[in-house]
Amino acid sequence: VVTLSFKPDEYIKVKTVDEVITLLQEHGEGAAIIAGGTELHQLAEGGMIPQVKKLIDIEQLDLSYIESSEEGIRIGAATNLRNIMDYPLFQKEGAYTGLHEAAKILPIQVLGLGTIGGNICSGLPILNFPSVVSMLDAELKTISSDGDGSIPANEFFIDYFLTALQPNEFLTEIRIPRLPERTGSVFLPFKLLAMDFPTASIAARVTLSEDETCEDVRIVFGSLGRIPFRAKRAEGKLKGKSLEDKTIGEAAKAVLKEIDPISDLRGSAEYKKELSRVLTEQALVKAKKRALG
Amino acid sequence: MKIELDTNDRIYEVDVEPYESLNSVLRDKIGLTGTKRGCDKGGCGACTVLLDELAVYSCMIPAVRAEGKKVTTIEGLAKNNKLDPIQDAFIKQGAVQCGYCTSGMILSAKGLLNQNPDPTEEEIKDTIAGNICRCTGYVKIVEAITAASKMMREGEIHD
Repeated sequence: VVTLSFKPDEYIKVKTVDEVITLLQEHGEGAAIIAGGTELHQLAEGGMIPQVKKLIDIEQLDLSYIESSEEGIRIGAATNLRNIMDYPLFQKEGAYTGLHEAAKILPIQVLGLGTIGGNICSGLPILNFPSVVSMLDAELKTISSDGDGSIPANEFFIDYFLTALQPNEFLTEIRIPRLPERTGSVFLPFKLLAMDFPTASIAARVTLSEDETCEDVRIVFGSLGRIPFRAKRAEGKLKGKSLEDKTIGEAAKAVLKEIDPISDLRGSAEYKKELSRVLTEQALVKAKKRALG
Repeated sequence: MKIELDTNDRIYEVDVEPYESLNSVLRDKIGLTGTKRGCDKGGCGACTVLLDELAVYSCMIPAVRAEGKKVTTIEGLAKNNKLDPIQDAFIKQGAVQCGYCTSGMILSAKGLLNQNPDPTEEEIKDTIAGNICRCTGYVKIVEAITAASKMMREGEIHD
């Protein structure tokens, strides 16, 4: 029973951001933020956070919202996955569909609790949002005793469980830039079991010109290594080219030269390489279709 | 720490540890053992309860967090000595074998039907994806939830 093995000495329901900052400043890694609590529970159950003595429950902070404007989209860090999945703009086939697809997880018991901020801050490349926020060039807004901060998603992930967040800093908002017209994005996981984490996953985005030339592209893999991996070589094969099947096939082959997946219980490195090639093709075809509307 | 838990429309005062799960408190301190304990890590669904309208794994919810919300367990579904239509349908459709997953299944279904009175088969399957049954093969469970949704919709018309 987790209750018996994980024994923090205090559970604090904070009402203000200042309280969080004070607690983090005071206790550093002896404190942990609980938002949805689903990932924290896995860590507690695995005996991985024995140092945590203070739990900071941020449910009552006003960090659950999605706002879309001309400048872009702001998502509160404690917004749960169901609210992201159900957001009309993300459900539409287009630039932000990848967010809907990344949020669409089962079981429902986790869907309604797990938050986008927790998904990112866990620093686990097998979760969905690390690669998706990287693919969308998101800015991660933070607060600490030093003031407001901002970390590009591409620089946020450092290693397993390790992010650029300082012990006294916490994530408050995910900012996604307004993407150009004729942009399509996709998140595509490949799972051996419906309820398992993906063996490999890909987050991709393309922007096409009127004559279907690829103006901008991002390809980011999840689950392959210690942090999300951006496939720049493959992106280079696409930028400025017409996005035909042949070009897409070449980009997918280029992926094989730059990825270096690890073998684990979900598949061998070799298997994951071939899988990544196939996922690249499928993702780009989907993203193209969405860009063209 | 002392908390008040609103469970099945009754207030229970309990003394809990900071990270004591709602599951432990319901079963071991309040004595509502209809909610089962399964994997204890948020994977099997046997411990599912409703927190306000949301189906959650009670094993991964700290009891402290449930304070100020309404907890519904299997014991709270029957009203005025009458079973909930979902309970009724599970009996009539033979959707129970060993019974260990049943209360979790029914609470997941309750969460769905509260928000969506006429779900598709796909939506029902997604709803119980996080509830493992090792006996029935799920077919009769899906049939029971479908039947319950029909009973509830028709019941509303007669009311």
